[in-house]
Amino acid sequence: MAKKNVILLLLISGVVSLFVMSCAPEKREEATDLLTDTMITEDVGITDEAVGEMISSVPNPVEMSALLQKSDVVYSQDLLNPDSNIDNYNTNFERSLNLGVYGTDLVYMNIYDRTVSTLAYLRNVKDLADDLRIGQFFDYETLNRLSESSRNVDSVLYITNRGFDNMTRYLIDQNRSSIAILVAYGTWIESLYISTNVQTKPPNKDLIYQRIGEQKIVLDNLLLLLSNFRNDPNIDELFMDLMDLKKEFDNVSITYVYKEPKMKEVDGSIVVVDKSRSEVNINQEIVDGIARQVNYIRNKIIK
Amino acid sequence: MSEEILKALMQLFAIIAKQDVGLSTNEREYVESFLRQQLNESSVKEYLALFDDYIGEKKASDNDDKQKPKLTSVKDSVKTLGIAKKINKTLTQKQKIVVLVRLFELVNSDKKFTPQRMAIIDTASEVFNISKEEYNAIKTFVVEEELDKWDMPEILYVNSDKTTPQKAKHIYSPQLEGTILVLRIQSVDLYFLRYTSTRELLLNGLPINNQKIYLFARGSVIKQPKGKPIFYTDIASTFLADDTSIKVHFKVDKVHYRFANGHIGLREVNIDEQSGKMLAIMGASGSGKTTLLNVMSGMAKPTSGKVYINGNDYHEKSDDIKGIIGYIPQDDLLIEDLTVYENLYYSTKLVYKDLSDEEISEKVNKVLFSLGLPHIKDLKVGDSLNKEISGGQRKRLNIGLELIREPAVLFVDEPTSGLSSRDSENVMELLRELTVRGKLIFVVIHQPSSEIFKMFDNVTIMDDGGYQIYYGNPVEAVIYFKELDNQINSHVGECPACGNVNPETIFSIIESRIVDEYGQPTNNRKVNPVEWFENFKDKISIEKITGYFDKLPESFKKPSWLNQYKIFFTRDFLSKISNKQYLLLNLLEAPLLGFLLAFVIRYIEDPTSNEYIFRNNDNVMPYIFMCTIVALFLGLIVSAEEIFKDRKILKKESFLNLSRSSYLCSKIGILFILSAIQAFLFIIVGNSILGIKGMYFEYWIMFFSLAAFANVLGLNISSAFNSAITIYILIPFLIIPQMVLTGAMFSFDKINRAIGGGGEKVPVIAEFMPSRWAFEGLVVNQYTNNNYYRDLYPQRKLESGLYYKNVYYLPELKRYVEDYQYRLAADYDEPISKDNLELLKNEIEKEHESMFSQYHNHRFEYIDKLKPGEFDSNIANQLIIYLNQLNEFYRSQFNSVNEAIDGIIQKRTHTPEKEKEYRQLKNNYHNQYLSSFVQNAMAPLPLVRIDNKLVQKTDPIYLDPQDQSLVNFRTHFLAPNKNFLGMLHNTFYFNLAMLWIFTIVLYFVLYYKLFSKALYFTENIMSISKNKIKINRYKLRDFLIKKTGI
Amino acid sequence: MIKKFFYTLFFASLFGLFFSYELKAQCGSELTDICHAELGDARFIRDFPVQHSEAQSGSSPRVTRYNVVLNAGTTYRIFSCNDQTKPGKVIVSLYRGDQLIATTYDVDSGRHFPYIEYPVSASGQYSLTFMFKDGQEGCAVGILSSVR
Repeated sequence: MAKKNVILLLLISGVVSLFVMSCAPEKREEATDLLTDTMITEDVGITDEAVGEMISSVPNPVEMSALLQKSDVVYSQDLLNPDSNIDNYNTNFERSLNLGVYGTDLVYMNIYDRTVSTLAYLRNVKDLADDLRIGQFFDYETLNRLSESSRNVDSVLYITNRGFDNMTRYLIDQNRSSIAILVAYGTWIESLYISTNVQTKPPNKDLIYQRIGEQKIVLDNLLLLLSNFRNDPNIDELFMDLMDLKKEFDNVSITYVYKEPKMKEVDGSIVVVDKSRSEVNINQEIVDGIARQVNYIRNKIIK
Repeated sequence: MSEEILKALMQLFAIIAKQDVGLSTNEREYVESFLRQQLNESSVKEYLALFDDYIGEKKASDNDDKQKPKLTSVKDSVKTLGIAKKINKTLTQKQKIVVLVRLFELVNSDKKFTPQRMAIIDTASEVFNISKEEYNAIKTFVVEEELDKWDMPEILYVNSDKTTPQKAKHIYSPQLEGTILVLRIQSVDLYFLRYTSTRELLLNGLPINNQKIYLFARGSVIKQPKGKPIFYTDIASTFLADDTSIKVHFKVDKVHYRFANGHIGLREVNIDEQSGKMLAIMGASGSGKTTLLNVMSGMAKPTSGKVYINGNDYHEKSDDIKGIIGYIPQDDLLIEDLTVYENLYYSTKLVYKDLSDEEISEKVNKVLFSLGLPHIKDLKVGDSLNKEISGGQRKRLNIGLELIREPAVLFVDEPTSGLSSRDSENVMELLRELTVRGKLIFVVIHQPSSEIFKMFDNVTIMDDGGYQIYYGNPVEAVIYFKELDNQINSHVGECPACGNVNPETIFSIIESRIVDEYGQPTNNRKVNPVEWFENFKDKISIEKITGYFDKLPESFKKPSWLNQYKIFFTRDFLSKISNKQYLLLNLLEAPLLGFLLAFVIRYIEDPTSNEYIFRNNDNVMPYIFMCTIVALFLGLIVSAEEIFKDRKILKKESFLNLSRSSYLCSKIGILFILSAIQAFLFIIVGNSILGIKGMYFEYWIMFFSLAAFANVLGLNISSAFNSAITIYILIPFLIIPQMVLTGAMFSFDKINRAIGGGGEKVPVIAEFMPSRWAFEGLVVNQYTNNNYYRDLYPQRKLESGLYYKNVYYLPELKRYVEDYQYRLAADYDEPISKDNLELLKNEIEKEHESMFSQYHNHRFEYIDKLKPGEFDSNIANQLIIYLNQLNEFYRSQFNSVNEAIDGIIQKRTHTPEKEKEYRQLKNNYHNQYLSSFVQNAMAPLPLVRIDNKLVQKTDPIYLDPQDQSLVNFRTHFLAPNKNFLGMLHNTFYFNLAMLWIFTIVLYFVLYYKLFSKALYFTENIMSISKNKIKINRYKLRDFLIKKTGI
Repeated sequence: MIKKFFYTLFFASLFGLFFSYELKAQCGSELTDICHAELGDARFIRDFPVQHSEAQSGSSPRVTRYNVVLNAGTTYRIFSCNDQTKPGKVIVSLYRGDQLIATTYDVDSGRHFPYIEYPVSASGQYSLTFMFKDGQEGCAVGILSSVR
């Protein structure tokens, strides 16, 4: 009797050890191949500091959207990147660009008090940020909460902006500047897209057109930033497309008249009086040209 | 005998009688006396006249053809044929034999054995289909006169001659004059008797004539003037004794039995019996009948006194002895879903290992025949609600199951309870038959009829409290009690020998109550048990049996373990298969559940779309959880009642000394098959509906393993508890804790800290929850092994590790140092606590040993200075530098890994078609909610401090076990690998193995009945201790009594 | 009496701890949140955190620069807040190219101004610079906002 039990036990232990033997540590070896023996510093030709300096010149979508709203431009949901498109974004390149795009969309919706419909976009921004490993800067929970009511628009905007700024800074700090630049680019292109596709009448139209024209300055900065990462074929393509856009923008001429600004003290703070002026020469045709290229670039980005 | 037959017989007699010379006076006398035996006076005259007529006829025709005797016999033979054929149609074989004997007797009366007469008898015999051997035996028996002529196997001598005849059987009766001869016709089981001497001999009270041949029927007694009476059973048993049956001497010697709760069950019981006898055990309820039976059959051990079989102490050699003991309990031991034949068949197979199927079939048919059940052999036994066979038939089948083993001693508990009187008689006749064949049978019986009561050789009567108050002949029992009653009550004038043998009388005497002044019986008995007992001891002495008894045979050669297994398995399998309802329900349950579950939770996230996307179904993780629960439920439910159902059968088969492990394994085998099928059906349906692609095998095997565990658990409960309800009540208690502690409904980080919540590893209590092992295995497997992710997973794992270090871990360490610097600057008394220093030391040591350390050359040289007293701001600064260096390393490594992964993905989405493919793959295999679950996205903090360690809480699926000890495989929940014996083992297979280890452990618990022992212990812990005290008190008292004689 | 004393002591120490924790965590994004409170009506556009360690003796203090594009027609307000636990006081200056437009520090009076208000009439690229007075160690944040 006891012998039977012993045999049983042995048999079973055999089976068990079979199972246990099926450990799979080989896969780990594969992965650790990715670890490099020496520290590779990105020989990019541009310092993090320089990137940080320049990237702040890409305007915040808040400004763009605020302008649009101030100009009585009607809100148009169709202009936005459909939130379902997020399924299409798999690589860091696609994700960072569209993080910017959705960020702008989010701001746009908030400024027009469409806070409740922002939930899907909040989600998208959060997901893309997580995928890029910068999600910890995006206070999703708070934003979600605040979005329940349109009284909190200002807070929402503030937190969103802060989130993006922090993400950008972090990326630069972590030596992932290219991603930061792409995010900024996405933000910018979406703002431009909305502005160029919006329906409006003068005199608001002129204001908006002016603002569009002024983006010429930003474009140059972006080109400069992008030019450092052209070894990446995707970025290179982006760069080339932006060059084409630049050609359109070359039709815009901005004239400046500079006067000496003066500082005044008013109520314990400094107020500047500046008589300088700038004038943007832009017309419908140019805008159309810009719009065409912007459409092309933007739609390529959002797939 | 009917008129027709009598007429035919008269004709036959006439034909014979008138042959040759013609009717002689002797012959006519014979016919007359024959008729007298059967009929009343007027009918005798009538038939005699008929006879005379027939003779007359013949006489007339005789005169014509005197010259040709042969011719007349031809005519007569034709007539004989006719009559014989007529008789053939109407008489039974038994009756035909009797007729033949009478014919011989007729001829013998004159001793005129002419050829013609013999020819007629011959013809008749042929037509009656009586075999040559029997014909010769009858002829010899009737015709011969000398002792040696009767020496044939069909004949038995009873005489005072010590020498035994060669072929014939012999009973030695020292006081007998002459010889009693008994002829046995085996085919019809008839006995004929004649006596050679003229001495007075009484057959059933009437004197025997040495010229006549008597029928010797059951229950007959031959009384001689001197010497013991000879009973039918003595003669029959001598004929029928099997060569193979063992002669057994069974002795119960001063047996005393006390129950666990202190009550006395038996007091000084004595029994002395041998093979070929049937003893009745009677008494009121509570008198100890069943207890006595239990002690005698070996199921209970007497507190004092012994039970001997052939001189061997039963309870010491119980294994050997059990082979010759049979026990038939009151309840049925039948397998309800099998037929009568099948029940016998499997029982037989279990007993005889060496017989072929045909031989077993033969045995079964033999038993069926002897039970009188061949006509119902293919009927299902059914249960008490679905009666297919009658109560009597069930009872006989029960007896038959025991008979297969051919035990020498049978214990039967109330064989007639609940049966009609006819069925009761049938059953008792069967038992009587067995006794005659040489078995020793003990029967507990309650309120037998007079008929049945007489069937017993001896009876013992028990009274309240386990007192034995009578032992002896049933008939004399009545006399004994009546006498006693008379003595005590002095009812003069009662005839002690009168009255029927009515057992009721006995009991009414025993239990008669004192009558009060109104004539109503009170609660007090006239005579209490102790008084009866004293009387019994005084007046009756039990006859001691002497004589030589064989050594007991070896115990049965049981079939091998494997064969037993096969038999158990086949039996159980067939039983289940034939129960259509059971089968259908069990097989349908699984896929139905799977369908319901999966269908309900299959939802499409996008309200505008009709396309189901696996990735976006948040319910997949809960589904996996439900799989484990369903597996447990199904497993428990099919097994919970199994052993409980078989309870009685197990008890019976305990006498066969069969292997318990073989039985258990067969049960487990069947249950496993059922569970495997259920698992398959459930997974096929559920997984398909929910779109869990691939990995069917993994899901199936985990589900099956968990169900298998539940099976063995269920068997444990089933064998430990004594009612079905208890078992089912227990099931929620087994399932709900597992639900709670699986880690699915309630995160281990968010449960009570007292039981281990929020700790580094899985709480200990959850280590014992098989559902948790299964769930964890399935989830880890689903996430890391699916077609979309299995190639990406290793890289992501690496990336996660680097990310964690970079974003959470190192900054946290830095914070401790910065905190120190701040507190130092702010002039705190203790800028850094001892614990914090220890934490830093621990963590940096870990860093030094981590697998990443081979890729960089940063080391913190001042690690030994991380203790109070030695730590200062310089060290702190150095530490910050070190941490920053690490940070840079991890950052750049993270970046490169991240980019590498991105590169892989880019390659996979290079073209629109590839991208579509990639997206499809992701949608079909990679579940979003599951991802966030395994990454612990809902954790309150990415890392926590436990004692003086930092424990990572985020991304558990990407974290290998941190504990490097050899044997302690315990680690955090959702670890992708388990660390054991210095190697990393894939969680899925490791968990699977754990499940099987649990199952195996439970098997041993089942085998050694640890569960029931523990239960018994806890239940009786109070009364056991109480009893121990009581028993000790009794022992002390007895001791004192012995010593002092008080 | 004694009890009350101890209670107050206890709570006071808690209070103190709370504050000290607060103070400690100031440099970084919490500083921006605190500074944000100063905005009032102005709409937040962007923040610029600055953290400099003490300048080496002899060398000039470190300057951090950020480029911004400002649009004509918008009035901007540029705030700054210091982390009090560090000695340095931030000086924010606004340039158009090389031309200084405004600064928050008046050398003559030695006063630091909380913000610069600038109604822009010429769109273009400007830059904000941040430095700490006397090159002291400091942590501060600058906030660019627009007035409605």
